[in-house]
Amino acid sequence: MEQPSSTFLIARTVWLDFARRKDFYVLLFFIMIFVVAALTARWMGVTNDSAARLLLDTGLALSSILSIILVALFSSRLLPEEFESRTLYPLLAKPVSRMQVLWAKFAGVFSLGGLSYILFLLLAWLPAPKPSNADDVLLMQSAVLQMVVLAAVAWMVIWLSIRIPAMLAALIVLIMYLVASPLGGFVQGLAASHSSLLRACITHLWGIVPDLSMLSLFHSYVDGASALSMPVFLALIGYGFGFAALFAALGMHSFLRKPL
Amino acid sequence: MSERAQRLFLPILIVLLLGFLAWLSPGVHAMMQRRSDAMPMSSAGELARRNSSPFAMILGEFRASVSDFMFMKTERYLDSGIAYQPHINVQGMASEKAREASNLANNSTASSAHDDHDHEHPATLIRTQQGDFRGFLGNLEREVKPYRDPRLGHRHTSGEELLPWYRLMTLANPHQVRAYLIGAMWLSQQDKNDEAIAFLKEGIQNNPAHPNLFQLYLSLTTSYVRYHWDEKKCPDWPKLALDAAQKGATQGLQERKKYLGMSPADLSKMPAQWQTDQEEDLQMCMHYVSILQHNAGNDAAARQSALQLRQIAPGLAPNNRLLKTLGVSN
Repeated sequence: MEQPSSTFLIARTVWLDFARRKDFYVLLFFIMIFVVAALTARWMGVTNDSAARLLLDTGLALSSILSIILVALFSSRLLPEEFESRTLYPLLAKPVSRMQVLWAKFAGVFSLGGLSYILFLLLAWLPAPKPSNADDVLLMQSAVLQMVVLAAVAWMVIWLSIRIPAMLAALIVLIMYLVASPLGGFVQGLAASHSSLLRACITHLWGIVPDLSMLSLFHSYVDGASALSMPVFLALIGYGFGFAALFAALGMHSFLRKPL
Repeated sequence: MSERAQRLFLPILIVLLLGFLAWLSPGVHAMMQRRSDAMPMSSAGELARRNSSPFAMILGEFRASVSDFMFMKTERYLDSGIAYQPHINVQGMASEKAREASNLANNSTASSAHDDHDHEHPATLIRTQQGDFRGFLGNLEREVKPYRDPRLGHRHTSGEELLPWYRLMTLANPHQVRAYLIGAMWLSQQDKNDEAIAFLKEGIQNNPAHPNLFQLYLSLTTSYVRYHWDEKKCPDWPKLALDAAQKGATQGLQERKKYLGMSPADLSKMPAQWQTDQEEDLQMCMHYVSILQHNAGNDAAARQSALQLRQIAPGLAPNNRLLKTLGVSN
């Protein structure tokens, strides 16, 4: 019988850790509160368009933010706990490279985050009444982009957790997710009063700050926007993947050079 | 791969990715901004939806949603703390401006649109006793929370206590055009026309590319026109009002054309994504241009702008009357 690969075995330890901890159940509890509220609203006959939008908007926002919190929390613990308990030594003594360990850990947390998001999304979408003009293609695109966001968040937290305390890393990433967009508007506002060259410099420099909330399209879906055209969708995928790749490279660079 | 190449691979990749993102990000941001601008943000339904989104606050639209939340707060303050279903809409505001323009054309004193606002009987958020299945709990809620039987109509406060909210709203989100519009309306009603004008000018400065910029210009025109009854305060009001109306009409027409496909044959049709309040406000802006030109003695320019308005709104009675005065037959 063929032996499972070492990458799969390391990823499985992440899944076991996931099952052992209570984080997921706490977040599931929150989404279940929404499910009960949505079903109660339906039972009470609240089915008009604006109520449907409010419920669906709330549910989709919950599913998105909870999956991001879950991924950030889990990613932040992947390596620091291995460093502290020194369990990384016996692992690296086996024929696996540091790169393999990092990829396996990412694969574990990304698969769990992705599956949790799909579960949360279904729990949010199914019981809520649907607005009349919602475009389901946009919902699918939104779900795909959310997966890219989860990958970028996971890599960003993994990288930061190698350099700074784990909880701080998760917190920084979550705050960045929430404030990057309004901060971006503020920076653009400041840049607007300068010369065009300086404005272009500020705009491009600000471009390397991840504004991942831009990839969350559920508000547009609830507001009845049409699906993204293929070039726009691909540009957003490229934007998300760009950041995921950047933080993956930074994470690998830090991990490979970290003295153990 | 040599050891040196291996060591340099990741730093080079990081630099390349940073360059790629610095190049890509502004384009992606601009693309999403254009997409967001293309949404019919000024429709009453859209505003209501945005107002009812509690999670927008924590998910990337923090500033805008805080501002929207404050907007809802003003409506509650206005109704003496009683929570009603949303009932103040942009169409009402458009009608008020139409009345102001009509007053100027007829040289009569203006009446506030809000004075006759009590004709509506919107439902309260707390259910009435007849429609409430909760029995005792419903009675308790009606006793302990601000409540008034919706059949009695709603009572408005003077509006003075709303003014700080509009200041905060526009500080939180300088692109909240309707906050500038309604805030200025309340300032004018509090006999603070100078402050209303300063507030509108701030709104215009903060929103040079907003699709509803012309509505700010229209409000500015209306505010200048209010000096018509007290000319000592601002002797230059006709010139200033005309300037504001012309800017508004130019920008509004450009905005309207974006939705039309530029066909002259379609001019008299209202574009699909264009809302009634936008159409009425644009017409009023153009009508103001004609009236103010006529009052300034420049009948040729007044005729030209009135004819332009007739292309868009052939049935607009005040404009047709003005054309008749200017000697243009049907």
